[in-house]
Amino acid sequence: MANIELIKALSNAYGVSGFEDEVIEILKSEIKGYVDSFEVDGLKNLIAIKNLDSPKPKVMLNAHMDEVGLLVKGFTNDGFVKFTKVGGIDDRVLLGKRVVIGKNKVKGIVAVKPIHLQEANERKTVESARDMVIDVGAKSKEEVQKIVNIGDFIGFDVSFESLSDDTYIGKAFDDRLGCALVSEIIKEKFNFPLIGLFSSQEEVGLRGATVGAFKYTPDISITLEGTISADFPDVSEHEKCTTLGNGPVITIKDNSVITDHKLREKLVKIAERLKIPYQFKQVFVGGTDSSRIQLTKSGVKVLVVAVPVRYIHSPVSLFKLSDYENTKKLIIEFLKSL
Amino acid sequence: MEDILEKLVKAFGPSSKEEKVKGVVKEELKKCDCEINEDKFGNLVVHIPHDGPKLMLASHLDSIGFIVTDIDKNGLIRFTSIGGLRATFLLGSRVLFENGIVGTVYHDDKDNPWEPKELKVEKFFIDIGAKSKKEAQALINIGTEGIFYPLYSRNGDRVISPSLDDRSGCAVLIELVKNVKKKNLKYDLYVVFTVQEEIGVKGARTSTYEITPDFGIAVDVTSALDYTDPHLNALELGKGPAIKVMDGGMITNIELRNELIEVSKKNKIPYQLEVITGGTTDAFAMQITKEGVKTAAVSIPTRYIHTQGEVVDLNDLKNAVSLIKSFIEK
Amino acid sequence: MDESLIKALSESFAPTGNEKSIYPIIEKELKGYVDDVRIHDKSNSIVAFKKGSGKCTLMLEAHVDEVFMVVSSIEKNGFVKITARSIDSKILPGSKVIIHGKRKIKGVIGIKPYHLVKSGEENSALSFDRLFVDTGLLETEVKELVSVGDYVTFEPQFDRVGNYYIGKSIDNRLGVYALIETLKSLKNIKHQVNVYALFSSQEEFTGLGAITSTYSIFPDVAIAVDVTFATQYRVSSDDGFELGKGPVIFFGISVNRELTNRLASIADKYGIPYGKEVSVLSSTNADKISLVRSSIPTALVSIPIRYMHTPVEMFDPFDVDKTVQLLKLFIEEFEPLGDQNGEY
Repeated sequence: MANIELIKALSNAYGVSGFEDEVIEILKSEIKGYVDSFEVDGLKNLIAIKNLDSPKPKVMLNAHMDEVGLLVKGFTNDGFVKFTKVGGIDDRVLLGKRVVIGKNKVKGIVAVKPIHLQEANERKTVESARDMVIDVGAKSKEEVQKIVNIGDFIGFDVSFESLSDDTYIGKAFDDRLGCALVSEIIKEKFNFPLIGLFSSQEEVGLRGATVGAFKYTPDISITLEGTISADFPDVSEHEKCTTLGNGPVITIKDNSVITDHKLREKLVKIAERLKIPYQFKQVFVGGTDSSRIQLTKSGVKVLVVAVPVRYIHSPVSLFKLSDYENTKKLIIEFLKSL
Repeated sequence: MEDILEKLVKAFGPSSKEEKVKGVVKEELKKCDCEINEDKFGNLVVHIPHDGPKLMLASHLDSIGFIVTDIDKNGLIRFTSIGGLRATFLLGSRVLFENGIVGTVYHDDKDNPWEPKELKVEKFFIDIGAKSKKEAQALINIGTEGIFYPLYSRNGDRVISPSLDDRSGCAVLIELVKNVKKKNLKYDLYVVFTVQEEIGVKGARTSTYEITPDFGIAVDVTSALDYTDPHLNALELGKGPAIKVMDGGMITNIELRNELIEVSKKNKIPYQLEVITGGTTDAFAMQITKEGVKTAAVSIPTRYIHTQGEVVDLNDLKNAVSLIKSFIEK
Repeated sequence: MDESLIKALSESFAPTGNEKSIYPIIEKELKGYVDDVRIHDKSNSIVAFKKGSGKCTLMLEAHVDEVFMVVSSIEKNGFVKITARSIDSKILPGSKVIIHGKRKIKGVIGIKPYHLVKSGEENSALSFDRLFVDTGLLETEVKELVSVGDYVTFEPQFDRVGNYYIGKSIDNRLGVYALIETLKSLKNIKHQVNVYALFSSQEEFTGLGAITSTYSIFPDVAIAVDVTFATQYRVSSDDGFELGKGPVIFFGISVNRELTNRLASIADKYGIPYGKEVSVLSSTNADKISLVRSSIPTALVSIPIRYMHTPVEMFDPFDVDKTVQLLKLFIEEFEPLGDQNGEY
């Protein structure tokens, strides 16, 4: 059964790209004792290794620890915080949201002009993030400078909750769900070398994965993601991408990679044999760590399997536990078959 | 050369599914005195060992293509591109899928059926002649790959066909391997037929890492914009292979490039100089791998790149063979 | 600030992909101050090395190349058409350039006389394909001396303007100068860390020099030195830093925050004023250096300049001197990051 407590802890932890420390600590304590060793590299990738002396082909399980967020860029003269976006965030999800800033979790909100005072044309457009500010309740620039630093991360202030026994909401399911999956799967017993790459800075250009497979380079790598599920109104039929409840999502191609044909066929055969529901990602967009791992040294065969998640890259996302469970099951069975 | 080119162009090989094209290359080279292997990533590596620094020649096997994303309720196929498919040039094109099924491309603009407003792949579909979704699903799956139907024709020295990018380069390298005088070689020669170039010069990165050459030369196509008056760039069909100075992705190594120019002049091989601002080749990946590789590129001037009707002049291919041969031999 | 050295660096020609003509200046300046200087053959970068007493290695990096234009064709009557990356075509009409053909050829980028300009045409920017260089030579002469692919650069004219200096290629000859002066300032200083100074090629295009040379050197830490935007006409403090307020330290995501904080601490300790630049990526070699091999903790120091990528880039010598001071003190007091196992 899925470790809901782990998913909750990972989702609630802060890990804006470049500041993955909290997530690293949770993962380290989770997998300690189940892996031979782990290390954190210069870019904050967490790399766990197991059975490295086995002569069999090396398998990597990869998920990224970072989430999209904001970064403190400066202050206005009256004590508000100016920021820049980290990762692909639609400006339209920001207004009126609660945030926390920096290690000390200073509370703030993204300021918004009251509707009463907006002109008719102002109601129709959302301003650019460049023009937005965060209010931390300070009275002056001097005051805010005492508690907030330039370069501090800013994360969405959202708590993990269940909506029903199969449906959960929270932030950062892209890709804390992947991190939870990797840490659960890596605890199983396998007789081949297994490398867990919990990568950093995925949301800002797949940076962690660019270097993360260099020291311990696998033969095969499976990236576990939280992927787009746009199965709701306002989206045309062939743009829905994936459907919640229809099981793990197998990527054939996205903007960054075409996954390995033979491995993918094998994965599908296992799903069919064991009657695990699965679906294909039907909008071939997005980029994943797999594309960088694939090009490490002389090359790596890669797969991408994901849990469908609604509203990724916004403060509150949504997933179904059954999809998570089926993804875990499929991957474990696939690994057993190697 | 013409026959090899025709066979290559007619082989199915969009990025990541290059097996059939590799088959043609292997068949053509089965009598050559060389080692042929497929590396970990799927690149076809031909090694002609000899004393001297390592030189890697590269041309890519893959062509751009189509990939099925959905089958709609009418049995019409929705797709996206593999590599740089140019939406403006797809309407009315004929597509060949890996299992032999053929389709035609049209658009779904309900308001403007004869002159669609948005020329985007998301607005297009492929009709394979299926009467229903069920019938289509029996023939095509999500993820099935396709290419421009390979209509090859020749008029004197000029060839019109899809996939001249980069089957032209492959033809040049095949011809080179067949005719190289081994004992005159100045280099330990690797001729690599790379995979997945069109989606990120991927095969070139991994094969260069594996081989770690001292020098590299990519053989690919370049855009000849010589069909208007005045010409839109300085490259012309039939005026010889182009020695690349710069493209959208990189600048070639000055010393290596100048050597290629000297060799051309000395052997009276016609050549052109290539300065373009868009596109790049395997040379980009080769140059920047590990501690670096001194890299140049020899390009075949080609019209209408990435359409169903690309055009090359066979003399440019022949002269490209002569140029590289003169460069690698004493 | 050594005005004659900056002038010499600014006025030399090292366009992206052909940087070697500047190397003799660098070699000559460093002679007697470093233990080794050599060319990184595969990428045509130049690397200097000064030994320290310890085991750790620190690499300073500054790109040596300047923005460039290239001859794309030679037209009837000998007019030369050009193309460029990262140069605004709007600054070209009416300017002087140098074509680096078989010899250096002066040219002018002309424009239709105002008298002939139609009312709709005014104020519309001329793109590269409508610009041309006039050398005053006959077509046959031009074809003799110039080839497609030849470099075209701004004409050098280093000068003092009020409190500041202007010239071409201040991006990134200031960085080159900073590395040279930092190495010189360490002459009789005992430092633990072993110092590499990488003068890298092709930053203005692929970053070839930084990526491949760093792969060879694989230092423990790296500091890139480049330029950044100063406040100026149409650039506010939202996007730029004031001249004369010191170097700018990058507090973004692509650099190592611990290393960056250390740099800032040294500046605070010695009263060196500095600015803090924040964005996800820096668009400098720091982004690329940090991704070499299994990653390298990297920081970035930038010197603010106005009118970037034009022949009249402007800077304040105070900012340059403070940058050198900061780098020297940082190296002197440097201790290894993290522990031997790579736990950071």
